[in-house]
Amino acid sequence: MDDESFRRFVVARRPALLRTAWLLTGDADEAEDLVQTALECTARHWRRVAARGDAEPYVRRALHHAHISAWRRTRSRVREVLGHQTAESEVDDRTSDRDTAMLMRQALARLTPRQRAVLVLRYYEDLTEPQVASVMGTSVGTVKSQVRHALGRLRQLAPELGEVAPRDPSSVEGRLGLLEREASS
Amino acid sequence: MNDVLRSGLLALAERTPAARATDDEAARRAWRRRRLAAPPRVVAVALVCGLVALAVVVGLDALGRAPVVPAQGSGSLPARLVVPPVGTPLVTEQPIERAAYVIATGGLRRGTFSRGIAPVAVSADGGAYRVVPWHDGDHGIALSPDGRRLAWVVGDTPRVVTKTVVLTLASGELLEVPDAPTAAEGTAWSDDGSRLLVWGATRISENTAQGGRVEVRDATTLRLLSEDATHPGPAAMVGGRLLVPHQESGTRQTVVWLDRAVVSPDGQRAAQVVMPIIDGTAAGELVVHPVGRAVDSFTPVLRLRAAYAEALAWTRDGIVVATYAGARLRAPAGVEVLDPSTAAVVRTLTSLPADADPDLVVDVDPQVLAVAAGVLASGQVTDSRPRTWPWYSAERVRWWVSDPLAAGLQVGLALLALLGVLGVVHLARRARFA
Repeated sequence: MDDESFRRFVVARRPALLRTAWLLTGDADEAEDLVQTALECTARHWRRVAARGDAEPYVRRALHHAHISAWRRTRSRVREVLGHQTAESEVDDRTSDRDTAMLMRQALARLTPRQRAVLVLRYYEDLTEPQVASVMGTSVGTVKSQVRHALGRLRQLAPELGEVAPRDPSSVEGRLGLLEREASS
Repeated sequence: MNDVLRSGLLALAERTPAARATDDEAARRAWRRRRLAAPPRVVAVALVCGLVALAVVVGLDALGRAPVVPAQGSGSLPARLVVPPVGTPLVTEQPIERAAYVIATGGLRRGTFSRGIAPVAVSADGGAYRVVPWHDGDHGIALSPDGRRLAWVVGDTPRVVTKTVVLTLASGELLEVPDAPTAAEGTAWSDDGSRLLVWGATRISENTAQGGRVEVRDATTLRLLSEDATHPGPAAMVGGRLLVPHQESGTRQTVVWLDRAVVSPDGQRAAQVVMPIIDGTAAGELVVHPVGRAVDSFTPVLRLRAAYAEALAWTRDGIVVATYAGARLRAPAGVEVLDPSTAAVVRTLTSLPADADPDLVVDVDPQVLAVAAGVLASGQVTDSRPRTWPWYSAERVRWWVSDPLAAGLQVGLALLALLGVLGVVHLARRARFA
């Protein structure tokens, strides 16, 4: 009985979880492993989680925790990957593609995992700041500062995002600035 | 306002690569592995709790294993003969004024300590323990009536040449008796403490000693005053008169040897261990007979007990303290206080206090090896209760230092417990994410 309900839940929600994991990690294999870890964690407590009626928050929380834990375990390796991804030639190549998705991937890769998670939760999953704070296990104030720093870091480390649109309030860079100011307020 | 960022994220999410495993496979795998992977937090907490519990147990054990302070009192024997804890200082390092009695913590074998464990002098003033500077094979120890000097024979006989030494407890000074028998067997003090008696063989062949003599020496200068070359001892001196118990031989039931004779303080009686041959087997017997008469199995003597006593002592009021090693004739080990007038056992001394840990002691059958007849005025037993040293005392610290393995283990476990607590705090902080 539990087995079947869990299977239905995985079939229904795994694609969405994979997308979130892809945004968090930027690597397909890591994203799949991350989702699998979150699913195993959820399966261990499935009876209790299912009894609540909505397993989605639990599995998403498990996903983010697993992401942060994995980042802590492989911190040095991640740094090497990030360093590789910030090579000038690669940046130039991808900037030249003017592919928004690729630019976003580049930009996220330059953030810390915690900043990346904050942006994904806040602007991809559309969670409120208290909800983000609940998932991250931190305070709302910390979430605000993380968002502010993440946006500032995006503007500082990925100026090529500004080339997608001119530097005006409607441009990416401009909107990032507005978002930063909004987060700081 | 955040549409650009959101649209960028959505665009990137739409480009999520296809997963290697299907959703069904992922679900099945996760469901299978849910029982295999224990929650790491639970395991960590269990591990930490286990370490903390272990540290607590070891800590409580350390508190419980505190070395025991010997029973107090000098007028009589304590009810409990507390074995010396590890780290007990040498009497030459920390002298004491006088001793009430000397105990041994190892098995005795014809007056020597079979396990090479040194005897311990118990202070008559406070009950402090002091280890006698002892070597394996030393034997024939005697405590002066005032409890201020110890005499014994250094070296095992008859294979080696022995020397006799006198230790002054108050100063730790060790004097060697000159020209003593080359195969000395034992020592004794006169009743007034002014003379030291040393007896043993005078000549040594390949492996045996021949002849024998009893020397009478001045207790202060150790100068030879007189000697009796007709007997190898043991001997006693009461009222200035040298008493050498006689041994009769040639009878059918021969006294195969006469050993460890101890003369009573009044010089009238001697307690001895005789070994008559009964049905071809040497049977130990503790007897009391008048001094100056030959001893054999036909002589009417007071038989105190059919057992082989390793050490005998008289107290001033005429009570015999007998120590049985237990190794011979399968007799039980222990210390008994006997009344020679009635042949009754007055008291059996407890050899180990109830609250002492056997791991702490070096042996569980301490023995009364010698008593100071002038100090141990009564054969009665003081029902004293030992206590443990407090954790801050110098004796306790010395005990810790002398046992680096236990100390290191406990410090290590304490550090582990500390790490465990830090780990719990860390996990608790991480648990806020859940």
